[in-house]
Amino acid sequence: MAMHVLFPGPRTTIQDQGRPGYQNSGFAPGGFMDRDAAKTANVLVGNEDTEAVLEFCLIGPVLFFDETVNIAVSGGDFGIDVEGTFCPADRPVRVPAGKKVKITTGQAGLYGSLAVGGGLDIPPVMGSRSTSLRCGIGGFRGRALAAGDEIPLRNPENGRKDLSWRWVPPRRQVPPDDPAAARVRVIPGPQENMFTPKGLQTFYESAYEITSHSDRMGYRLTGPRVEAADGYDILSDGIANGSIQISGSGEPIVMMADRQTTGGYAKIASVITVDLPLFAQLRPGQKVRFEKCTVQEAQKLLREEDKMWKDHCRMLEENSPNHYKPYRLSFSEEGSSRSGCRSCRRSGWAGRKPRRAGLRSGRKSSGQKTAGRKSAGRKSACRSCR
Amino acid sequence: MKYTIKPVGDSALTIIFGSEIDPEISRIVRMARTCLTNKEIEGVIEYVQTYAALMVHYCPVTISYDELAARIDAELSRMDSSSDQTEKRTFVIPVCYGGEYGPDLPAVCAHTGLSEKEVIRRHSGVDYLIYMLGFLPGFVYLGGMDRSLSTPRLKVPRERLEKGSVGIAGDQTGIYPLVSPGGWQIIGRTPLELYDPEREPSILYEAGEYIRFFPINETEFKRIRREVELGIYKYE
Repeated sequence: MAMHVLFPGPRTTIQDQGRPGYQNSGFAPGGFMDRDAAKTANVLVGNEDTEAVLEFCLIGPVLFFDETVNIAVSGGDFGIDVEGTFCPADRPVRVPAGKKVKITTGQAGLYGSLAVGGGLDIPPVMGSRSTSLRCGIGGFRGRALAAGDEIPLRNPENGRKDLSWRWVPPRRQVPPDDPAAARVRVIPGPQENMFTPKGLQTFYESAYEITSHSDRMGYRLTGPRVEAADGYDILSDGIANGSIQISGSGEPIVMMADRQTTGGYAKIASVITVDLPLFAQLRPGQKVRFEKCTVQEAQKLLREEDKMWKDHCRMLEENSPNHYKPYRLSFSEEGSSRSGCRSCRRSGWAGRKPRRAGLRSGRKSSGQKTAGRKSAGRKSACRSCR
Repeated sequence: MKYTIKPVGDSALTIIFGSEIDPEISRIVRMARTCLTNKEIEGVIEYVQTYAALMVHYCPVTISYDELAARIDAELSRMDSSSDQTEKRTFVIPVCYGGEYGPDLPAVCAHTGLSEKEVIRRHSGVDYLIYMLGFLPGFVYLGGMDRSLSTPRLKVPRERLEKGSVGIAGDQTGIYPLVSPGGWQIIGRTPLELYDPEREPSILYEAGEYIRFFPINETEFKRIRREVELGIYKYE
């Protein structure tokens, strides 16, 4: 009951929501680089959206599982190759035991999240399973994955379920070679006043290129110098996720998940949370333009996004085929059409043989059946469950 | 007490109390942190104290910037900055100066014109105020070093400083809680484990408290190190 790493990829670590609560002691929270990708991959395989995932950078791992599992990958333009069968990202994939899984890399995106149904059995350190390479803690033995690693699965039962019907709404993607540069919204401050009007104009009107000196700590950008009135140094203060520092060279550094908690460069603005996943997926060489946004607007967008996501997750739980099993059993085997309750799960169904392990095809037809059952099932919920 | 509140992105805000390194401003920042922490404002994730500002990380789905700023304003206006209840706490850190543990002690002596004994006496003779932590887990920004000990950083930084290294860089002194590259002049090392993820709390001191260095010899260093490894050392 483990995930076996055949080839780790250059920078593959285990990440979850991170380790907040220790920043006052100098400990960066870390966690997902692309929060949306991790949430998506997790929900597709039936996990909580905060479950720990494998996060890889550009080149994904090659793995196999000694148990049938559901997996999903999300983030950039990645795919899953199961011994020659290509499966796209943002879809759940059932991988039979022993089959070799390879992550394929496409034209866009930098960070990918691979979720395993039921989660990885990794002990949390200071409340989180995130790997902090700097401190050598969390994740799998506090380090990046290596060939030969065997990571135990927490709940391999998950692999018995057919989750192929689960879906997520498509996310915003940056086209691989957008000449106009990606647009990312930022909230000005807190040291905006240290920059000259000309400097601010430069910052908001220029395209900045992501350099190869970019990692989980921060993305260094290159482009026109942002002019400050009197240097870029400040009395060190706190740094938030997505804060944009202007360093001594006059060029921006966007602080990411493994950032330092405090810093001594002036912060001209911060990337809004809703745009941070998109920004995180920009590869070195791609360009970005910053647009002003107010904190009120940013928080409204985030709240809307959060509500849509939660509604979607609730819808998936309510529409789960597992939810209708008692009704389906009575319909097909007892012949009484409107007797079962869709909500009170009873025995009977458990006696049914688990579905044949294997990659599922013909997803459409099973989806249609599910839809039909759904409408019939809704009528038949008993009073206590309605 | 004057302060300004500004957003830092959509999930954090900063309360700025001043713009200089000053023990009095630091005291007020710490008081504000204690005061707000005790209020357990819903949606707040954590507070980060720095020299003259307090950063508040929060969840904007639970509380908006406008609501949180108003709440903080209300709480701080009620806070009486003259009645500081917190007592002074000093954390004692044993340090073995010189030799293998402090390879740059001769360089500091040469630069300052003081004897090794005098450097050790002046370095360990004061209580250092912890203004803030940052850079690495448990890395302290200390105030109060005797100016006569000031020594510039190494021209070529070392690739590896052992954990527990105590050093001087310009007017600053500090400790490396983890193995790290660095350009500080290393004058000694502590046998203590300043950061231990398995221990509760992982980091033993916080901003606003004091640190005092206590000179020990190599035999004591090894004894304390053994006690720390066995988990029987009593921190004070």
